[in-house]
Amino acid sequence: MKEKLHEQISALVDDELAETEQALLIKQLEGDVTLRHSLLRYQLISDALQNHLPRKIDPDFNIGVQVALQDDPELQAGSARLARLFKPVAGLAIAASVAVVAVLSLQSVRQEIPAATSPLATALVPDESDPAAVTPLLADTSGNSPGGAGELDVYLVNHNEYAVNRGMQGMLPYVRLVGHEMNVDDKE
Amino acid sequence: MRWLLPVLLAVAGQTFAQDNARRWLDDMSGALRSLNYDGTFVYLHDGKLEAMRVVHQTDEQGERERLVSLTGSPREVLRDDRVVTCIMADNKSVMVGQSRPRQPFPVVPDDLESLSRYYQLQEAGDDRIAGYMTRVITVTPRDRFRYGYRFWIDTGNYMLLKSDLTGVDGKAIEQVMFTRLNVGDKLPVDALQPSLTGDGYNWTRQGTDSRGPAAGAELPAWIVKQIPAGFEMTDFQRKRMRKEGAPAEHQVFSDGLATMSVYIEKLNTDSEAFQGLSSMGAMNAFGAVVDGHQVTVVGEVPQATVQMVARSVTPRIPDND
Repeated sequence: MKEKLHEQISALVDDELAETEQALLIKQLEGDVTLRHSLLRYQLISDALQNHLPRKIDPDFNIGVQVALQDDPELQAGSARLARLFKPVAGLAIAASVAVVAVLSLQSVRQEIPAATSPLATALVPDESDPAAVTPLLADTSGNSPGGAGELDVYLVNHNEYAVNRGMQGMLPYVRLVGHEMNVDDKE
Repeated sequence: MRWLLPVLLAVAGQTFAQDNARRWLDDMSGALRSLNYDGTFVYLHDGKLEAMRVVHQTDEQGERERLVSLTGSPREVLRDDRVVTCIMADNKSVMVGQSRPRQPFPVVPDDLESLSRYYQLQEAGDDRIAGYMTRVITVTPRDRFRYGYRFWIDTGNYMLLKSDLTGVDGKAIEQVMFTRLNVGDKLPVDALQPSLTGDGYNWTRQGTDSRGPAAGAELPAWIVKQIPAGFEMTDFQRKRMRKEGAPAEHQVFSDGLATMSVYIEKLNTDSEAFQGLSSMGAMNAFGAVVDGHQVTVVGEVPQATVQMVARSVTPRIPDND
């Protein structure tokens, strides 16, 4: 079983894993630290074979970043969101360059944002610490949308078409729609 | 006056740098729409990680695209120049809408002076993503009404290889990164075919637009009284959002990068109103009821922005039906 998993990881790194198997493997990687470490090792070997490595590399670099984040009192006090953010950043080991992503996320946390130009904006920012204040957008069938969440979904799909044309969105079109799983339990 | 030359040079240098960054964004938007590609990427949001595959083809028949989830429940979006179809296996629904003709290049407004009032565009060096060299472009908002962006753009073909969307506090809210990408290859015929049939699903079909851009004689029946500086109405129409039901008024506002939609629809007596905030990653929605109408604002802007806009929507003529 373990051997088959390692074969799959190796195939994933070499971009030779079937799409159906990719989904399954990614799910397993999300829940297994040892497997993620294996992926990192395979990626390292692959990079070395393709001559993509810098002259000197610390294989535990990403762990160092995690420790630094955990030990930073400013970040600890900052918000719980950081913890939520960082956990999947470790999960991004599925991607080829986990260390790069971790460092970039760290930088983003520390980036200075210009102060609000309008006091109105500050006053209107809702209290995000209250989870009841914000509900998931897609297929929110908890009972506070007209005729079920389908109505909101229709708006989202429609809005996407205009956003693609009129703005940047910050990513590929429709990623949010496909990437957000619906809460079926709430629906039933 | 000896100080004047250095000041002028500094200003000119800054404008030149911003214009360079804008060109990178233009080239990136062009590459996303004009290249043929097949790639797998990860999408990080709200502490969750999703893997997806995107297939995009542009040829004499136009643009075709397929986006499919590789993790979780099967979800798929197919789009061509006429129709966009969303197939969601988790709630057994299929939504079919009319696709909009894509805006001609450039996507990023040429008017840098107006754009730079609300965003600072910068080149932030080079980086390597998935084995490719990229140029990093940052877009930093100058107020709290919009998000910031960081783009990692392939220096060879201008494809977007990684992007961060940052909140008002500068933290990344969403991240997208390609782990595999084939560009320019001939795509297999079945790559753009849906893997889900939609058999036995609930189908929702949107009506067609009954009204064109806002430039015509007819005015919107509803007014948005408070909107952040820089946002202007770019589209306006009345359309049936579903096969049944009264037409909804739809106004679109953009500041050149971020977009917001305002929907106003008569509330059915048998339906419950959507009120308050709702979110999907960086996309936020705020619902309110005004004069028996459901007002919903949706956009890739902070929660405070959709909330402020939704609460300022009023009928042009009070008691308008």
